[in-house]
Amino acid sequence: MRRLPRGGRVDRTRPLSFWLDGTRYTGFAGDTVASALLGAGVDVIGASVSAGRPRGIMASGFEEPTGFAQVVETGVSEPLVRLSAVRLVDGMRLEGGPRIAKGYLQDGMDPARFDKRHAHVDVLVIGAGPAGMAAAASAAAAGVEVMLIDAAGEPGGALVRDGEAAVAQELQSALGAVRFLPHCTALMLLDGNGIIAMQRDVDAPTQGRMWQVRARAIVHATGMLERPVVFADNDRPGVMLASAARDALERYAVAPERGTVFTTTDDGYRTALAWHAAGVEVAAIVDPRPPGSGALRHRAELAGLRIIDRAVVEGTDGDAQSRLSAIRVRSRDGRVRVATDLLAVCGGWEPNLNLHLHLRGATRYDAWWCAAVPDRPLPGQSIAGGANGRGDTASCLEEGVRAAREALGTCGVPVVEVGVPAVPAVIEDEPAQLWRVPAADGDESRSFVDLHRDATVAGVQRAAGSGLTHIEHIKRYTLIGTGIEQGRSARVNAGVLAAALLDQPVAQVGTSGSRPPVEPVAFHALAGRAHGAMFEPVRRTSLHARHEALGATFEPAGQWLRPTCYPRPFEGATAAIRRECRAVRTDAGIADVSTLGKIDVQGPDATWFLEQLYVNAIGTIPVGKGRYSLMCRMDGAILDDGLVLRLAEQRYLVTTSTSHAAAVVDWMEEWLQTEWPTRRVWVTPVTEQWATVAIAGPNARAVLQQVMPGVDASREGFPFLGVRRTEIAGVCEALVARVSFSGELAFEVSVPWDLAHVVWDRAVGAGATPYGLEALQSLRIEKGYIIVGQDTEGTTTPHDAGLGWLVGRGKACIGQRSWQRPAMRAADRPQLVGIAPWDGTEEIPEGAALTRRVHAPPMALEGHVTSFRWSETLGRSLGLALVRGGRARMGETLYAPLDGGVAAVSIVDPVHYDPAGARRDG
Amino acid sequence: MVDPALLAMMQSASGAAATLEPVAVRPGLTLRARGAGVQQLARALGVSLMPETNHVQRLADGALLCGLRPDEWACLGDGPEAAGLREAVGADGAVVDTSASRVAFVLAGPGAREVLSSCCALDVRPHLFGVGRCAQTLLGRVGVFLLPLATDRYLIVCRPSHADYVVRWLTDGMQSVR
Repeated sequence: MRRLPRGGRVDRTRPLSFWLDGTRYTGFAGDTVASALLGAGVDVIGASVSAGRPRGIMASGFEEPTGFAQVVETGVSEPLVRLSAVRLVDGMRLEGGPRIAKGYLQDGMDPARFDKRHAHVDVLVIGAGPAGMAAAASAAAAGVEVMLIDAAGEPGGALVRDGEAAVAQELQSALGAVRFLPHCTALMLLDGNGIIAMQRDVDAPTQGRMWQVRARAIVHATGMLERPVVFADNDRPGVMLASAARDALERYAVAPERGTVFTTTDDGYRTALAWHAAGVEVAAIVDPRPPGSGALRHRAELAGLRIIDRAVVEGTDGDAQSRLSAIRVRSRDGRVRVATDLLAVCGGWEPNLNLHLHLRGATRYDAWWCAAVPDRPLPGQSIAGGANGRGDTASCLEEGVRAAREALGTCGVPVVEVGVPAVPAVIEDEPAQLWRVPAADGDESRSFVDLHRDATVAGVQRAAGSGLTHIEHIKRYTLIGTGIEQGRSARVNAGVLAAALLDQPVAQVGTSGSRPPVEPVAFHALAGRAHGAMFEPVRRTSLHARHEALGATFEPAGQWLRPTCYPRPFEGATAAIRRECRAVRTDAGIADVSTLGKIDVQGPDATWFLEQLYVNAIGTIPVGKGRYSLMCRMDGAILDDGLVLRLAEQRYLVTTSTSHAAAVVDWMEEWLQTEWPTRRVWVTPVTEQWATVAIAGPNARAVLQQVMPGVDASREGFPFLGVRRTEIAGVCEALVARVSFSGELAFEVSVPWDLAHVVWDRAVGAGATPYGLEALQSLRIEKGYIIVGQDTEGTTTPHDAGLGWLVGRGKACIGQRSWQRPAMRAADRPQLVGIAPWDGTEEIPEGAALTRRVHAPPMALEGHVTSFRWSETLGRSLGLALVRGGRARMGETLYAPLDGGVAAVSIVDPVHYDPAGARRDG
Repeated sequence: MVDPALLAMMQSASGAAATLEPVAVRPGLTLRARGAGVQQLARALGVSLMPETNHVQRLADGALLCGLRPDEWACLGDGPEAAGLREAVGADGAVVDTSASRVAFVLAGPGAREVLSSCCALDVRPHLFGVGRCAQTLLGRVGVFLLPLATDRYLIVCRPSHADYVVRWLTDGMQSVR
């Protein structure tokens, strides 16, 4: 094709350079990449995916099967970009070749910038053609909030292409308060009258905005899609949809030297007439129908254009590059060959119902269009214009007004009459029922149904011959419709072809479905801004700055960041962890445990409620004391562990593990709201009301005295599991509990979230050594204390975890009945044990398998290592494990096959250190 | 007490379209009541009726009384003492001091709604979500409490540990609305 010296909507004063596969071309401002390529005479962009046949631009909308390339900007590379959807930018680089169907992702940081918007409107109109604009203007006139979106940069739809730009102008001026989103494609219809749409920045393929719009009423004015006819060698560059050829001419002044048209409807004549009007030679119009009385045909006759009636194109010839050079026409008078460089094909029009079909909107077969039309719209929605099977402009305008009326009815707003432009109706002859022309030589392997997937008539014949009878099976066998454009230009032709082969009615075979998204969406568009620090919330405690000042390294614990250890200058992490462990065992340490979940539970039924949730007795906890306990799911497996601190007769503070804080609140609320709604229990999450530090070690008492001198920390005055509501004089209220996760004498001090630094500074000033998560792990493993979710699995019961002693006798609780089942009491259940490697310096990764034999199959799995650390206190490494029937296997040797060899371990008691608990009193 | 780095982010993102600044909502109480407790609580607060869920009432001394669910309210700002309310509601409810567990920001300006629409799916059009309304919703992936203080002026309340994430999303949205 070529650029005409005049016409089009491009700015010829602003030439722009671009490159395709290293060759430089020139287009104009206002061009799409597709029109610039065509205008520069580039018919061949690349090669098809499997046959390697040359491919070019075929369509101008999202039905395009072949016009794709990798677009490389400075530092950005975007695969599979539809070239008719992207505006030409100076210096743009394209990679064609195999890239029309196979792109690639670039390595490294992605500089793309996509964001999101949520919008709520009264009426959403999808498609800004005549029907959509009439609907939007009519709805807006009634005073409702209207959003109008369109994939093009301006409203108008097919009007400009079809020589009705004046109508478009008039409608556009009536849009008034309508909010118009240009370059915005509706990708998917959502339940509850919503859509997701992608608004691209046409000047930058790697920028855009994803919209989620909710509307009280939705109007589908998505227009119609043109389909091609299948014949031999119909895939040559130079064979194009008639509408795309007209777009190229009217918008971009790009036209062939000598055009031909093959049309089964009157619409194809528009392309020939437009060429003729622009001074482009029209070599022939091939029409399978007998001469009719249609207005467009009449105009073509008056213009003296050569019309070959009752004729079909049965093949094409190509030049050295396989581009179109001539068409072979068969008519009742015989066969003729017509030289041409562009064949505009119109095989009929069908409603674009992709969105309607996403929610299984009803359709029926329409014989006039030879395609599916909507049977009825979905609730709260209307379908207008071409999408409703009303293709001509006059009908579209009428339909738009009707749809607006329906939408206003949905919104409960009275209709305000508005005028729409008067457009004379055009008389058209009935379309021909023609989808395919059999190859003259019987070889159907060059008659392409799906150009994106290189699927041919021969392939459909093979599918039918193989016994496939359902269109969705044929789709998967032939790959028709599995490309990124979902075979928009191939679906109906495939369905009709299959119907003929299966000897079934077209309406019964139908077409393969449509599914979201309507157009491919890049992953970085889906992600939007949710990457880096905005991907996942990173939660920090109020002591974070203190930890940083001490040189702490951090690790994630769920969403929280917690200190791993506090290495001093020139001290390695290992040395730091060991030093921190020694400090807790021999002096005093301080740890930030603010991330533990805290829940305030109060009310007259609070005790009763907690009795149901926890496995041990709650009512017997005296006020001012606490108890360690477990809660189980209904299947008897451990849900979480924590402390139940009784603050008053009817008030408790319970703690949860860090990762289960939200789940435990939900669990409590679920029971209260669904099973016990009349119980007077009030559950309030207070995790971030109270910051908590643990002061642990034989000298913890002395440190606590420095932190809060008013508290009697003596052995008698503050017994193990005691809870004191007190205050830090002149600062704030405080809650102190004598509980321990290390086996040492320890106090957990809780103060309002933002005042934790007072406790921290005083304790550190009193000589307490900050210790991190690694030391905490090592210390608790020495004592055999579990972390739920690490040392337990989804099936571990309290008995399996060695905590059966907690379970209250003769007491009902959630999960209790499940424990009575035989399988829950089987002797070979995985049970928590300690493991001690034979070689005390061994490092066994958590999760390592434990087997009884090695190097001699079968190596049956006996269990796995759940926790493993170096014990500074005992001078050797040790761990915890879940082992089948483990408690009866003390002393037995198991093997952990590792990458570098095999580690032998002995099964031991999980309490590795201080089994008598002598150290907890200091 | 907001992290200086967050403060700097808020200041540099603030402009003609929207501004973001921290605001204190202390003290803060979580109020629970059912049955007779509701009326007792209302009397103690000096209101004729407790606000419905997602509705806000301003108390005489300035505090915002916000309906969070049929039996839960938040009382934000200077208002009645917790002890008095606790006594009034008795066994038919609970009063928990949650002052330290919230931080709040005010997002204001003609672009405030669009900033919210970049990270929050809630329909905040003034005729549906005007002064006197409130909502618990998601901002990005975290729960926030949102209420309009005036036209184009929103109070956004979140947990202290989510402040960093919330400010990042809001300031990022502000940069796209300028």
